[in-house]
Amino acid sequence: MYHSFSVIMVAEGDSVTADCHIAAMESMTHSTGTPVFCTIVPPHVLDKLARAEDPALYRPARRTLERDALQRTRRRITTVRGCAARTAGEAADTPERTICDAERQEQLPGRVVRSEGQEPTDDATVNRAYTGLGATFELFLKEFGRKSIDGAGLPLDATVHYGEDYGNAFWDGERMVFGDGDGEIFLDFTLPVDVIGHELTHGVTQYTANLEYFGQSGALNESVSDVFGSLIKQYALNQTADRADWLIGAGLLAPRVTGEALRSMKAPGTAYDDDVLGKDPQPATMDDYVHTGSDNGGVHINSGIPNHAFYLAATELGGHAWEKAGQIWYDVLTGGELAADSDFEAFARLTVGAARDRFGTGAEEQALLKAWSRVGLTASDDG
Amino acid sequence: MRIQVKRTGGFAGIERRAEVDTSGRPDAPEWRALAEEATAGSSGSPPPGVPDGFAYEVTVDGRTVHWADPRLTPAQRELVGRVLKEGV
Repeated sequence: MYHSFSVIMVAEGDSVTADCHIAAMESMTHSTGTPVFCTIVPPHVLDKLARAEDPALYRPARRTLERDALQRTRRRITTVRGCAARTAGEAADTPERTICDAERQEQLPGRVVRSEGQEPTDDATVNRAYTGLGATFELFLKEFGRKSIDGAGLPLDATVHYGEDYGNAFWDGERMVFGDGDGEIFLDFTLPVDVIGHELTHGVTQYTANLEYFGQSGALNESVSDVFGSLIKQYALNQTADRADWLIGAGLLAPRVTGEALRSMKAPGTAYDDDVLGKDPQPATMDDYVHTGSDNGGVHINSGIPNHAFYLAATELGGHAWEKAGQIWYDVLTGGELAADSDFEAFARLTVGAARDRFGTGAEEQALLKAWSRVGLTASDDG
Repeated sequence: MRIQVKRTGGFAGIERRAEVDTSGRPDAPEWRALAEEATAGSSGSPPPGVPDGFAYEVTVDGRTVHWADPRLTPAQRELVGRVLKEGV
């Protein structure tokens, strides 16, 4: 249960006040004479209201939830730039990997257990992390000409066996960190290579567009990590778009869980449906966009929408997904025009422009316009 | 003492909640000491997190504090770990 209360002040003219119908909101007068609204609504009530059928109820509730979360969590999550980068002249065509073992403690970085060029260890988790980092390095270098995550040969560091039964993996701004899972719901987070690629791609995003980890820009940050995570798996397996599973985290769920993965780019919302985990909440289109204050505004939920657009474009274009759709996404991520606070539509428009720049007017541009349209976004840039 | 934990975010984006009511429990003093140590000096506003990191909202007898991986103290880790494991 949830018993804390949110208190936010909203200035006049703000969209929240424009159609405020929540009884608990009361009008107040600010000392400057500017009318403001003070909302004192328990988040669980807002959550319930946000799911109401009546737009008069859900609109203000959703906006309040998002605003509340935004104000509480205006986090500068991805702001570490340029740390430990080698100078451009030194950038190598080979990765420089170091795998550390946290030995089930939550202490970083842990003990170094395998460095670049060393033979495999007896620990399969260490070896999977090493190999996964190598696969990710290779895709970015060979297909996109990018030397490591910063483009300048940044060493790739990872820590495995983080924490006890720790059911998560994350990017801490400098390294990838993988837990072993509890064995009941999640298994070892190094098992799916797309999870390794996902974490490393957070690093690429940090050094390029640096998408803010909140709301739509945060969902784009997550989606970009899923897109390249999936591409790394497809590249390692040499799969064409029609042969790929388009799943994120396949093999990560314990056998007792009813589900095939954590997310599906092909069919968002269908990856799992389990008594304990619940049902995959991802939407595939803007009609089902989820308004929430949790998870930085649902960054792991609404990423389903751009994920699905990528899947639609890549399968329409056929062949290896990294060659066209992947190249276009990479061009947008690194092209310098993608603002840190971009929304889905801004991203969509940039993909259309990037498709024309790289492939001219033709099938690629048309595939993108169609893909974005099918998820409910207008991508035409009138160019 | 009532200790509630809400964990959000993470790679999976799946929320977990659990709470422990220590009243009447023989280990209540131990919980109280742990909760006090864990929440001492914690702020009500969420600290910066990291991509895919867990965020924790911990409420002890009505007072809510926020923590984010990977920057938890040992006492904070123990508290959220125990509540999520033993709580309902």
